[in-house]
Amino acid sequence: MIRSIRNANGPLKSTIIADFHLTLYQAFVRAHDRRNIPAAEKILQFTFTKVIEGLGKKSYSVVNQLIFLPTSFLVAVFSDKDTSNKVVTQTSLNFKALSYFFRSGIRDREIEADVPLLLLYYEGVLTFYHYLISLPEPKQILYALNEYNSFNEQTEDLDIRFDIQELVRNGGSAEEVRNLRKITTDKQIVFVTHRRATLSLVSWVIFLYSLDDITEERFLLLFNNIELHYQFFEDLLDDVIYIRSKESTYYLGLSGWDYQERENNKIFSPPTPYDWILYGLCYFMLKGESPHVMIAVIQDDRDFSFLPEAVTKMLAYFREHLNKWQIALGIAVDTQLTKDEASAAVKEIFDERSRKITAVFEQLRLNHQAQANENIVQEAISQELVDKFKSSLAEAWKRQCLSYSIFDHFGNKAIKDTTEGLFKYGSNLLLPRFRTMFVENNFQQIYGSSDLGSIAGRRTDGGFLTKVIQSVQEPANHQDLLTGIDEQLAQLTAAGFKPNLIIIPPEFSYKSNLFESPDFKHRTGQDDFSDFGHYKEMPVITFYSNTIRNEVIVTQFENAFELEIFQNNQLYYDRLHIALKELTNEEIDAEFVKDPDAWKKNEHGLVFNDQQAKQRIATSFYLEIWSNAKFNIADPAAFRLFTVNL
Amino acid sequence: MENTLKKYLFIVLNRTAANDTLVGKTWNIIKEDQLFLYELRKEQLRYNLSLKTNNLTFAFIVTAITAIVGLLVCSASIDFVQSKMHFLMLVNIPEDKGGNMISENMGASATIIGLSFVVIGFLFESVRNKTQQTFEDIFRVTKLYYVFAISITGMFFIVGMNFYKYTFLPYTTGNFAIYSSIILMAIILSIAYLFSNILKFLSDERIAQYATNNLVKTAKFQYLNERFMVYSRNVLSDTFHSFTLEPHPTHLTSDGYSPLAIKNKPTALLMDIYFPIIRLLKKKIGKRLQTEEATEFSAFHYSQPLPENANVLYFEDGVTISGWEKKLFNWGFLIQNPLNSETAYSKEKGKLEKRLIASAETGNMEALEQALSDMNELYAIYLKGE
Repeated sequence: MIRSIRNANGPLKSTIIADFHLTLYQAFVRAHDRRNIPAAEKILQFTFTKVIEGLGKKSYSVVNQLIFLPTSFLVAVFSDKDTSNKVVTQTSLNFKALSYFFRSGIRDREIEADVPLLLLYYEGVLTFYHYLISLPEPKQILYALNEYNSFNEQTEDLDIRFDIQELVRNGGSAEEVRNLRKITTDKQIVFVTHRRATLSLVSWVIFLYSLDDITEERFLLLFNNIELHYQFFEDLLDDVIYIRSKESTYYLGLSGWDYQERENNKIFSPPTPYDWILYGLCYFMLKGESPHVMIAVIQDDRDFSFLPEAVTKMLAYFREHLNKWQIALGIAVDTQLTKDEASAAVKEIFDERSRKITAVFEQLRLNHQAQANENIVQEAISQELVDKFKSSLAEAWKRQCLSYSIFDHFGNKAIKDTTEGLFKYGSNLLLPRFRTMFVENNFQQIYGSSDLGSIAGRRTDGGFLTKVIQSVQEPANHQDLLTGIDEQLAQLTAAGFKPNLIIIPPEFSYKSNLFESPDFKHRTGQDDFSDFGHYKEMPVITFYSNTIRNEVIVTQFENAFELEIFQNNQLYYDRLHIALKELTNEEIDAEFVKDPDAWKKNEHGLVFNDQQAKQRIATSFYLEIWSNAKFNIADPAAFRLFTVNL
Repeated sequence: MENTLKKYLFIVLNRTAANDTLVGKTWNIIKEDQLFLYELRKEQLRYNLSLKTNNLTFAFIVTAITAIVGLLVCSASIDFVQSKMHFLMLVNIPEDKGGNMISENMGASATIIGLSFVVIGFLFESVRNKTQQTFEDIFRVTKLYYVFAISITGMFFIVGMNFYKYTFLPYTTGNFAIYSSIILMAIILSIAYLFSNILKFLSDERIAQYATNNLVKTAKFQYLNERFMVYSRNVLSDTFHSFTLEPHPTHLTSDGYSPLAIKNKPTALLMDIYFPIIRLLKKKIGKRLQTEEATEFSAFHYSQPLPENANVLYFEDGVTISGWEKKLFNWGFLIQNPLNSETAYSKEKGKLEKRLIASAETGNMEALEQALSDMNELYAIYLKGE
């Protein structure tokens, strides 16, 4: 629950002062145990003196070593009202005194250099207040909160805020607005940090109340006495997004907060600020005096993909527990109403408020999606990524396309220098959002995309098998695979052929007794042409295709079939044509006209306008992937196709 | 024997070719970069010198030599004294009175020494908060070792002169009488000095002050040592890099390499390196390498324990390294057997921590304030050096 003071030796540059925080803690506890309160106070004061000195000398290590100590002192004297009162009074006063270090003349100094100390200071402060809220004595809490509220007297610089509005109105770019906002945050770092710290504290209090970890009375006491105001929604949103962001994992020590002691050696999931900060966000939005919302000035953020859903869930929670939150949210109804009428009225007010919030977040998600699409469309295509993708398709095709390999093996193929009279085996596809795979800044991997190559390969094999299967009108049927093979081989041999290949469906490898036959020899290695092994010295292969289900083919392959194939050294493996094409404006319009509803609504149910929908189409690519070939039956007598019922 | 020789050799090298040794080069860099640390270094040297000169053995050696010189002067001929040391002729002692004077001086000396040491014993008894350190402080500040040495050596010589007063010529006996009086005066003066200083130790503040000084001093030296180790790491690494040596990955063993190792016991400490030997051997053996693969080094650190027969340089596997090269390589390193891991500072720090906790427990505010004040001093040193 409390940051362990044992970790405070971390960044020390020398062992001279190592473990002094532990010595001070031990001395403090001994003094308290023996009721030597002046001694305990002296130690507390010494601790703060050193923190002040550490801040003055910008010594991160000294401040880090000692700033969490007062909270540990408080934990040690928790049950002693008098001493804890003294610790609370002294600590809150001293923390307030320390705040002057950051308040006075911060603008005159190097802000960047002081930011780590500022964050460390607020981490120390929050650790103390995080523990303080569980103290039984309300007076102590009120006193300390009163001090906390006067930590920061800086107010928001409204001029810059209006500058941002002006910039947005004049069509300033997102980058310009972001830069201006960053300048504001940097300039008002103390103000912003205090605001974020307070939001965290308030959100935590709301979270505790949601867990019934504190009473309603305590919740209202705390909430009403922690000063936090957001004039503008974007500030609240900015703070929430910042605290939820990955780079803020250790921000102000929030990730270490927990509401209960956990047992050692037991796995548990502590609450994370990523989730509980939303209690603050929703609560502020649901309260009557929610901040002013102006969507145009809100900066796009990747969290807008996730926030709307999380906020919706949170709102559903509040609605489900409206009885508990009604007073806290300030929802009042006419006292003359009956219980049912009052309940309905409360829900109506809540729904009205939550509808506005949902609408805001949905709009933000829509804007984010549209912005993301626009960014993707605007970004130049990386030829390197395109080539890489094409190569992955070609490799997948090569691995899958077995039929060409068999013809290559037996040599019964005729190479053509024109595609005339040949079929295209492959696909011509529209790939939605695939542009994200070919841009560097907004790159996103679409998993399984290289499977498109496999599909083209499978279609080729399917073409070959269909040709063979359809050429046999009434295939013989056998109940047993080995009997069938033996019988058909005998017929083929009797007809004067030398069978040299057996093709079976993949399932037959484990469903039949083929492998148990003494005439079967298992596959010997990579160089072995067969898939499973050899039956009577003939390779047994299979096609992973739905076209072949219970059909078995035995053949003298080079006599039975012939492949005509177009080859060119410009093609992948001399055979595969792959082309990726961006859509022209006409093509975009044409695609949109085909099915406007499909493009205007995305998988989350967001509804885009026509322009945004067309932008979505613009993130697509046309893919052409095929080989030109023709499978011929050279001699129908040179193969036998039969079915087996297993 | 070899190690003792090396120790003195490195002392000479650090004075004459400081930039060629790890320690010398590190101090030179600290001198340029960190004046604060270099000032600490000077203070440490002065303190070490005072420790070497302010102890019983050294005090006895100094006083004994001085007394022997005095005795030699006594035996000088009358002509020599008249011509070269005429001022000694100012004292006139009748021929038959010299012996008596020696006896009287001997009695007076014995009485003074006896009584004084009894009183000093009582005074020591009345010193509060006595610890081993307090006594060590008292002995050093009052120069008790010298007082003790002067008293004992003086008495020894007076007794000796008394023993031989009838053996030598009346002139020499007269000289003995004068010399015994001088010794008596020296004893009185040293005891007077001892008394004047020992009274300081009857004050608690003064004792606390000495404790604080000691704590601060050891803290400063601890800090200096820690910083020196950090600097020496950089020096070692930079120097080896300048010899085009690459660090040997710590997770790899010497398999596949021909290592050049130091001959040392396990956990021995690396105290210094003479770089020219490393450079010479790296170059010489490097010429025999078949490939252009970089020779690697293990980055051992100053004052840190070494593994047994530590491999320092890693040459390409199979390269021939002769016996004399291995021996010469060993002369490039100064090794020391491990010392007690508890440093002077950790002892002082432990005492401070005990004092702080005890005073907080007993509610002795004066002692608590003193302990916090001492802690404050240590934070000041830390912050100054940060």
